[in-house]
Amino acid sequence: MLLKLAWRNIFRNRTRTRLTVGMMVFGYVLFSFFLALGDGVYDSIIEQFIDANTGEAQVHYKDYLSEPRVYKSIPNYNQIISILILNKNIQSASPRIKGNALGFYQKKTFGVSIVGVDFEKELATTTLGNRVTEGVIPTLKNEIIIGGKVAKILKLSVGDTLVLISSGADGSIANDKFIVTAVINPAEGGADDHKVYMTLSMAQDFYSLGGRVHEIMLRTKGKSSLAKASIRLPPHLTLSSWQQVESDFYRAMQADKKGDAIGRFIIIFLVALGVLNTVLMSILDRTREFGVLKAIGTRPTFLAKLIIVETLLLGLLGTLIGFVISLALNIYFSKNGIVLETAIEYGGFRFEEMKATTKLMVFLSPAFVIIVTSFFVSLIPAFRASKIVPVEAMRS
Amino acid sequence: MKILIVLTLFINSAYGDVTLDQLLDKIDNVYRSKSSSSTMIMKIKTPHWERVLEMKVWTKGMEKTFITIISPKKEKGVSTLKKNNEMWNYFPKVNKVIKVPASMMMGSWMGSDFTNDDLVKEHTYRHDFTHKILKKSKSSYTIELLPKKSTVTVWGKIQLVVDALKFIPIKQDFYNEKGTLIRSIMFSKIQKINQTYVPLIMTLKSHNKPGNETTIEYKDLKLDVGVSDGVFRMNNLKKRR
Repeated sequence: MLLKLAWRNIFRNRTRTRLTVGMMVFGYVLFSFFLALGDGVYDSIIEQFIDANTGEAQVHYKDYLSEPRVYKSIPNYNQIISILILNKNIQSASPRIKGNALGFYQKKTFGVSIVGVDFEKELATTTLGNRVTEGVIPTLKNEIIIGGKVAKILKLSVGDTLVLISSGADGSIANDKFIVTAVINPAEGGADDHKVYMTLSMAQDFYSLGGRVHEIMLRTKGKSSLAKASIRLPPHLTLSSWQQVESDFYRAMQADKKGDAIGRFIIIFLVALGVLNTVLMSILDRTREFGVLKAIGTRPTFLAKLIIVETLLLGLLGTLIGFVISLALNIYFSKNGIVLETAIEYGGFRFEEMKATTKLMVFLSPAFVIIVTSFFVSLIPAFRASKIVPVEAMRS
Repeated sequence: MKILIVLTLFINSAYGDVTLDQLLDKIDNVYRSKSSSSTMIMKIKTPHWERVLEMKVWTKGMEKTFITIISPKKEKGVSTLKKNNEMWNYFPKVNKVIKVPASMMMGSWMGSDFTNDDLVKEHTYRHDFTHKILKKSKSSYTIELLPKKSTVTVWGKIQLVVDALKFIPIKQDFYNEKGTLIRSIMFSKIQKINQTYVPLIMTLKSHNKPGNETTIEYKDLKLDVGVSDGVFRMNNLKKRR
């Protein structure tokens, strides 16, 4: 009876309904799109970060991550990798060696960070191959890929010989000559700037680390989280999620997101205010009507319930239409990003377009906001209507 | 009163300090005779690794030093030339001579606890430090050395224990400007070469890096043997040995 009456009331005055629902739809779509775009940008930043280098997680020797030293290495890494791969959530495990060295070319000197990798695995699990802008991936032991800044400062190009000097894990002097076969992004800055990529076996020789590595980078299957993977490691090894590996970047991003939360709050506030305004107006418009209902003997609680149910129905309707529009909008913008006039740089990566996300949260949060606000907003006129004196109401 | 102070000062310098100066002069020159040649075994111990280097060393006065590694094989031919205040390292594998920049002077020399600065420094305890005897016994003195204002050094204080009869150092403690003990060098295996006593083993302990220890032992140390100047030329660095 209550529901039926409320449903009929909605269609009694089409213009009023259209106005209220329209406001709700507008709020829903605005909020959903804002969320989708914001989260989309963060998600794509994280994705790029994970894909480029970090992976979903990494294995190191004890406290290597907080205090890296050349001698803090993982022994029997092949055995550990073969055990790790048996885990059904882990897609791949790539061994790496990391270190610093001084690079010399002709009269110039530059500090570089060396990354020794299994190129085959690295190309399959990271975006390294796409980042190489010039030359070919090394095949021989003493061939290297260099970062843009290394190339620029040392004036190195493909085919040149770079001398690297450092100290090995046993305190010995590490020195060798390398031939540049590829350059990463020579024009722009980024995470690869100071890097020198070489083969794993060469890096092991260079740092006197026979049969040892510093890092095992893990890629998980699909988007399954690290917690699901339940990885067990020997006590001298530690597992770190990408959030721990790139903790500086992660913290900066969290701080950034907090800043974003203010923007979100303002939008929620505006949407709520819009809903409040239209609902309040449409109900004030009906004061006379409520007076008549009261006069013919409608009980105050019934009247209040009627107003609340009506408004909630409007909220549901608005959410439904808003959801359909937002779904289409977000899907469209997740496929075709908004191209930025000037690319933004974040954590050493460049972003030329903003893409929306179609995560469930992006649709649930605005629905929640609309329905909850319409409920609370309806309480005020519902209370007033129940207290109304019929004679005065009908006179107005 | 004033006269008394002046008088005691005068007596001090007239008596004690003259012999102390002479003693310090001898200490300064224990390893720095007119010229020397030797084979040096350097053992480096850290909590994480240990290694032994064998090298040939030639010196001439305080100004010139040439060192080349003969083993292990991996580092054979890596050489250091020190001339006055400058220092170069040569890496045969990459055929490169690299001048050690001023900023790297406090850096480790060949991975040991000795710094590049230890090889380059030319100041003498006698001339570049003010000295004070802290403790005196029949056979040994404990001397406190504070750098003079004009002396360029990283140390705030050096405490020296010397053998007053053999004129050799027994122990050196190095303190930083804050007065914290940073490292100690102990001297042992004393031998008489050309009428003078020389400790053939030097052990360096870093107090800020527990577990780190470097030992240098001189084998067939020859003093005043007439080393040719050609040894200290740049092109000798690159010579195949």
